[in-house]
Amino acid sequence: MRPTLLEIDDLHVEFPIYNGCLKVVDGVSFAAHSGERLGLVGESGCGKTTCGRCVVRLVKPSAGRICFSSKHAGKTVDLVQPGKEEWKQARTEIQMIFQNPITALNPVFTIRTQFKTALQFVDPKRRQKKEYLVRAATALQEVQLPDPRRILKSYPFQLSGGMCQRVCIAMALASEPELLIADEPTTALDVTVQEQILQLLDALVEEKGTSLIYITHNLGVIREIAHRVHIMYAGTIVESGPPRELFSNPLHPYTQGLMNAVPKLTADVMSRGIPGSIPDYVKPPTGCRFHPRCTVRLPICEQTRPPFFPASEDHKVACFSYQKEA
Amino acid sequence: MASLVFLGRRIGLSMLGLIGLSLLIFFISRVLPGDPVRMAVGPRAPEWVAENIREQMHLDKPLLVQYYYWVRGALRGDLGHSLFTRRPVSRDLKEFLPATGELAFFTILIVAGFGIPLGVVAGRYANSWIDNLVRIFCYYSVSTPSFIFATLFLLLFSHVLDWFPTFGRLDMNILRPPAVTGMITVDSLISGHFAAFWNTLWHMVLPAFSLALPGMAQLARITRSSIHDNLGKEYIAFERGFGIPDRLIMSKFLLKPSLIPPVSILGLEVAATLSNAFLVEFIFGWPGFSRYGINVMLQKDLNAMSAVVLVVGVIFVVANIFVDVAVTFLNPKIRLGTG
Amino acid sequence: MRILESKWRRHRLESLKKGWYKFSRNRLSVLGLCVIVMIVLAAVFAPYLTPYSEHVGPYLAFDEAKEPPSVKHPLGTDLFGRDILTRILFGYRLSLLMAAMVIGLSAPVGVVVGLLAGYFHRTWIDRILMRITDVFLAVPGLILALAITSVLTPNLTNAAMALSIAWWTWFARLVYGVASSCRSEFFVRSAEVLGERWPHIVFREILPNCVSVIFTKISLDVGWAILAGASLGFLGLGAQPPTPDLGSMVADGSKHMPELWWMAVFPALAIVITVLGFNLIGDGLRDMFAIEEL
Repeated sequence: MRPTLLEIDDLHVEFPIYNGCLKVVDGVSFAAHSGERLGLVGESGCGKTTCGRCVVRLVKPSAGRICFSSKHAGKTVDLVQPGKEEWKQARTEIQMIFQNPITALNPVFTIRTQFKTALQFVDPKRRQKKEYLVRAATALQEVQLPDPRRILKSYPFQLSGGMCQRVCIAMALASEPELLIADEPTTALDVTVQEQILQLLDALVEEKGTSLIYITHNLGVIREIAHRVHIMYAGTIVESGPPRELFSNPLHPYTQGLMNAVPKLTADVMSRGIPGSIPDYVKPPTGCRFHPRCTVRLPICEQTRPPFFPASEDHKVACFSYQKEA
Repeated sequence: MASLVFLGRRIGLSMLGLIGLSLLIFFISRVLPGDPVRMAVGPRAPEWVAENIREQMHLDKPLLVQYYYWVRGALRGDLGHSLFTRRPVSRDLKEFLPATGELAFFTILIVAGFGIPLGVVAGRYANSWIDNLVRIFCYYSVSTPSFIFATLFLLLFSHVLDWFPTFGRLDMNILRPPAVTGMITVDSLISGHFAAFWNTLWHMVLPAFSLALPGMAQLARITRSSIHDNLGKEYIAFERGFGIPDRLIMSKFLLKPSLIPPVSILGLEVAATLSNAFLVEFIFGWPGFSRYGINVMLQKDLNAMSAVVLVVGVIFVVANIFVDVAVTFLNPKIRLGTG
Repeated sequence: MRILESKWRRHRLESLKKGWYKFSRNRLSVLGLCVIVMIVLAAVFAPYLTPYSEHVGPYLAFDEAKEPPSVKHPLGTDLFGRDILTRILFGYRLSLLMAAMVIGLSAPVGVVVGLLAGYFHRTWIDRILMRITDVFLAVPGLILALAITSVLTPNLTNAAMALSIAWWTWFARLVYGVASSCRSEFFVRSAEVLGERWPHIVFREILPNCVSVIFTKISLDVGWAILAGASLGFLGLGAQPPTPDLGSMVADGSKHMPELWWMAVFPALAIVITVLGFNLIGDGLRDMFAIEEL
């Protein structure tokens, strides 16, 4: 069993609005292990991005714990309220790649300036300016960007989305992080480019042994890249398991609905959607959040939130229909 | 290259604007009710004196002809004669413009030099006590017109506390340095009259601050919100992730994009300063162009009025061009076009 | 139809609730709102709030002149024995009236110009209109107003007119920005395809989108209009004596500083508080009309 790198325990995130509180993340727990690749899947608005942002402290959780075992700090750091020194040391070990690559880069500086500065602080030993540029160029080549020199001289708005995303990946990986969080990195890009970026990420992460949390709403993508997938619905995790297992044998009614919704070339019928709509986050349904739309609803589903029930070795489901009589 | 064309177009359009404006002011001043010539010579002067002056100023000719004469003169540097000082307007301008120039220069220095850092600090420590203090200060200063500041400062610092002089540019007993530029600060530095230099600076403090405070506050507000907005942007988080220390982020990576909005409104601030200078110079007895301008307008001195508006327009255009250049420098998107 | 109407009304109620929530989150804005409401009420009910209504006209009582603040005259009296508090209250009336005139004149003109120029974007209409706007913007507004006022007889109406001439350009620019970006939006194009004539498109389709910007600007501008009016008044170009004008009161008072300090300080404070109130409201309104997601 690989050592635990990141552990999220009962995370809650709330945003106050005019008629109450938006409970965006409502009790999420999972762990990421060293060298593991995790997928966080769910439709838009289910809270997966918010979870990712909590880890890099862009969003403040209202409850819960996030623990990260930091090499630089030499201990486990609490990412909700870290000490100043601890956070400084741990920060460079977690990197995040954002959804919109062009806004993730500073618009008024060249790539060269940004990359050079990033490298200067990643590698504290003082080196010649030229050396940093060479390293930057090499990193850009690793992400398969032709003509690194031209890219370095450009501003972010002069590059296409795909190129910017590659630059971001190059920069993120240049600091050799322990954990990389990719928040829908290909959503803003063309389909053809998506495939390339995906394969790139796959190869690089494999090569450097970085742990990856891949956040997406695209099921197909996750199947290729992840060791383990968590399906999120309305701020909670409803099912977890290895992608193969999940895809061939979806257990949670929501996951089943998702699989059915994917159009298949070989099927005779049109794909079917899931009836109903996502719940109101201010007054979410009691008990299981999916119960108003669930086809196999039980009376208990309305009252209590279902815990995880193990279905097989690696596969667990938060659904009362899998509760085995003790 | 694109930026040069852009600049050229701006200048051209502004010139057009100035021409249109001069037309406007010219016609308005000429068709006014009342008789400025009669007012200038006084009720007891014989009619032929007034007639002479009217003829000299071409007031008897059709409007367009008058305009032609005026433009012709203006292009040669002859802006006509003032009805009241009886001197060529251009001489009046030469005498009064440098005074205002000095004042304006120091005012803008204060506005930018205090306003932007204030905004940066407030934005960085948003919602803390520093921020709240700055915001309160800004709210008050923006809501208070310069002339009220001037009046209050005069009362407090001059009459009551006697820390600063009440009017004028220089104490009576200090020798004025030989005029090179007409600006006492520059001239005194050139000729080595340091006493004059410090003295005139001392005289400038109150008027400059009265003029500067509203603009400084506005600049600080815009800088603050710009910094606050950019602080939450993804690229800042991205850069922080590399361990780039806060002070470098603040002084370089956050500052440059955040400066774009405040610098853009600097042109407007110059305009506001110019407008307010009219009142503040009046209050402090600063023998400047604006005070001259007000007198001229209150006395309906035709040539001088047109000249004053023209000069103000030119200053404004030049200031805007500077601002545009600065923004182009800060924002590469404008410089290089889109992609 | 009935169902649609009631749904629409509920939707509007929701928007108002949301809007108020956003506005009220900023306590300063609520404070500004209170201040302004008080001032407006004071201005409207001025004659009933003070026993010295005649002090506003030609009134002389030298035995009561130059008195510092006291119980009888809470803000003191001026050179002619007139109660300063009364004159400030009536002065508010004038200032608000002038601001209303300036905005009432400049806003419609500016908005229409901006809409037309924006809708006929990149045609000769646009170019001409915008060039005209630029002409008026070539000189700072106050100076233009000054120049215009000085050639006319100084009184309140003329000052308001002069300010409007300088003011409309800002509305035009603002609306032009919104309108020209709306121009390429789908709802405009589909209206054109449906065969709507341009007056309908401009006023029923594009205008509603500009309303929030216009409204915010108007609320901010009331403060600036009062300020500009006070500046003109300070130079004696506004309402003429004996009518109380806040700016000219400050000017008169400042001649007698520091001995008769109350003559200048209180009108000055009156101006500052009013403008402050409007600025605070303006900030809250900006929050309210910002991204309408919640």
